[in-house]
Formats: sequence, C-alpha cells, structure tokens
Amino acid sequence: MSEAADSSKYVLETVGFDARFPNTNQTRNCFQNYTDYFKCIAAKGEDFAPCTQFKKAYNSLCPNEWISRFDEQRENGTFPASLEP
Amino acid sequence: MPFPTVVRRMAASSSPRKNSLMKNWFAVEAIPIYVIIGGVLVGATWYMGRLATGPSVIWTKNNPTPWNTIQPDQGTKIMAVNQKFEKSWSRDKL
Repeated sequence: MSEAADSSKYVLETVGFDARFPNTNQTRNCFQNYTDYFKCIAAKGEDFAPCTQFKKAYNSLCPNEWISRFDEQRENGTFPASLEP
Repeated sequence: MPFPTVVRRMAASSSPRKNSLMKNWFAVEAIPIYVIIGGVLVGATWYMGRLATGPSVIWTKNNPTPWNTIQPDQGTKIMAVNQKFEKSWSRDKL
C-alpha cells in the first residue's frame, strides 16, 4: 500500500468532513462541489488554484456516470442549477 | 326567560362527573389509550417539525440553499456518536 509521502510519488487523500453533509447520503455534497467548481471557474478563471479543491472533491465524491451526465447537461444547457458566479 | 336556563345547562356540562356527555363519551378505563395516543401525536408533530425545519428542505426562493449556512462547528443531529459539535444549527430564515 502507499507508504509515507516522501517514498512515493502519489499522495492518497480524500474529501474531509463537511458539516453541511454529515450523513451517509453524500449526493448533495457531490452536487454542491460540482456547481461550486464551475461557479469558481466562471468567477476567477481556470487558472485560479483554490478552485481545484472543488474539482478534487467532486471527483472523489461523485460516481463517474454522474460526472459525465453533468458534463453533458452543461454542454446542452440543461444543467439543473445556475453556474453563474 | 331563556337566559337563566341556558346558564344552568352550561353549568351542568362544566361538572364532568354528572354531565351525560362525559358519561357517554369518556371512559376512565381508556385513559392509558388516551395517554399513549396523545404521546404519539405530540411525538409525531415534534419530529415532523424537526424534519421540516432541517437544513435539507427548501421552502422559499429567497433561501435556495439552507445547508450552506451550517458552520464547521455546528451539528444538525439530535445525537452524535464519536463526534463533538460545539454548537447546534438552527434555521434562520424560512
């Protein structure tokens, strides 16, 4: 398994505890991080480093089918939440 | 003339033991059932109220994401095992 960070190139980590979503059902956590990432990009641009915490969070939390479905909805303009900053 | 008789009838119905309404409809033997049903109704309405004012319910358009008002040290649960929350969250606007 992965040793200490200095002996391996990869650091394994996951999303920390979020008090807004304390229960087993993390669906809303996934959706919130997805929308927050794209709102962050829209507000600050793609190269703004703190936006990547949202991207890591939704990539950890969301099932991959959901991520591709959300991406399709964004392209079609049918994404269910506003992505304006 | 009708006024004093109405007063007397109302006085009779306010003494529960002698009143025929209470004799017909209130069974002393059923007091445990009344207590249990009363407790169930109180408990159900309390819990429904708790669920309705929880952070996951959206009621109005001017509060579209109530869960975003939860601070990192606030808990929303009735009881938390293996976790310590200093404060508990309460809904500020509908």
